[in-house]
Amino acid sequence: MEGHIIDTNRNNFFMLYADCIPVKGYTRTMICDTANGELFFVDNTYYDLILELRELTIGEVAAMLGEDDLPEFATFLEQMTAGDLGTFVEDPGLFPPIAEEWDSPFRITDAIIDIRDKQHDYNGLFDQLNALLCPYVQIRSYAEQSPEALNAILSAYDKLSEFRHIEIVLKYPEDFDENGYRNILSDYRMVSLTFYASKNDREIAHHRMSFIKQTFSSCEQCGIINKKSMSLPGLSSFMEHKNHNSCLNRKISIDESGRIKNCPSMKKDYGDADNVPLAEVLKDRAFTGLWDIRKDQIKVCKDCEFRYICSDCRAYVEDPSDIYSKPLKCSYDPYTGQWEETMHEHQKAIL
Amino acid sequence: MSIKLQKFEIEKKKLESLPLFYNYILYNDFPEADAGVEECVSFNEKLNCYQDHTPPEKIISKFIDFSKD
Ligand code: SF4
Ligand code: SF4
Repeated sequence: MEGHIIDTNRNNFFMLYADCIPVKGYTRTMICDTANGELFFVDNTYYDLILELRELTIGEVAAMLGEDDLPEFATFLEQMTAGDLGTFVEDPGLFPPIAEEWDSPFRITDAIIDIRDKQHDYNGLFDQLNALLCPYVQIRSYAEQSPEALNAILSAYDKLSEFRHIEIVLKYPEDFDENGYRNILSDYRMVSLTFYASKNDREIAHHRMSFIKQTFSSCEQCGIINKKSMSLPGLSSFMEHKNHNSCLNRKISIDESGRIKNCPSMKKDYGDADNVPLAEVLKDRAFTGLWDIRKDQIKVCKDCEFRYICSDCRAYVEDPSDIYSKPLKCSYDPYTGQWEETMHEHQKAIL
Repeated sequence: MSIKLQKFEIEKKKLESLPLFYNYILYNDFPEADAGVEECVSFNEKLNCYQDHTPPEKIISKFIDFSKD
């Protein structure tokens, strides 16, 4: 019975759908179903099998396998089709793979602006980011910001609605003015507010306001990579992760003192945002070079099955003298396939 | 080329992109949107199209530790 699926498809080919992409790691293979947002983990021998199945018919592959492997082969085919990961075809030439490319019309796709005491030239920054077609901005405040203070930042620029989304991460204030923040959200439809160090126990229902207990005091807390920080990107983001640096690609940042950087945690800066146009910085190969550090080039990560969905960190790496070393705050070991629940001391030290 | 297959086992995971409220959030039931969908759409004259004001798919920075309770 178990050979039935083999017999009936002997002259066919089995193909994974083009948007179900196998990624081979050291211990196992992950099949990333980018259309349905699902991940499947299988033994690496099935990665080799998937490659063979691109070239050979089911019958040819069955002939290549040992007798005792045929039940596993049949189970594989049954589960792959049941999981809607692939199908049988007569001519695989009619189903070319998806081009592994990524591009974007936006010169900058996301920006971080850190604030503490210094007031930036918000009108100038928003205007420059908008000119670079940047759709997403994250403002991270290490201090409380009253609704009036937020309004002063946001009202500085009259074309704010040309941004797709502006996330403001800010400290939960002692005297939380719910109505004031609600007014901000009604006046600025592209804004969401995330309050950290929240102590509030009242119920607030607004889909663009969220509250977390965790406390932040500086950009040094960025770069956390664990099981729960993984996100499953769609096909476009998957290709961006594969071809570019998944955190820094097309990113520009202003740190709390107004210096232009790839991200606020990076040591190197490219001048003061009050004096240096952001577009000038984008001409600097040293700045844009980091955009192209791919996971396949990074030590340890290159052997990790999560490498094309993991968003990386280049600011905090295990060996600061080696820009190609593994993110310091990653809790996964691809050589054992285990996530660490607790961080190592050296990882904690900088949090 | 010859392949020796291991026993076939498949593990399926669905990554959950839950809103922040679900991750060690103090309160905030997932509320009915108190603003209609249109409220979060606007016309972008420069790009000459309507755009949704939705968060990015890509994580901009990673300083929320989702593993903490
Ligand atoms: S490179 Fe690291 S520290 Fe910088 S934004 Fe990305 S995750 Fe955060
Ligand atoms: S080893 Fe690298 S690719 Fe894998 S989860 Fe950690 S940081 Fe991401």
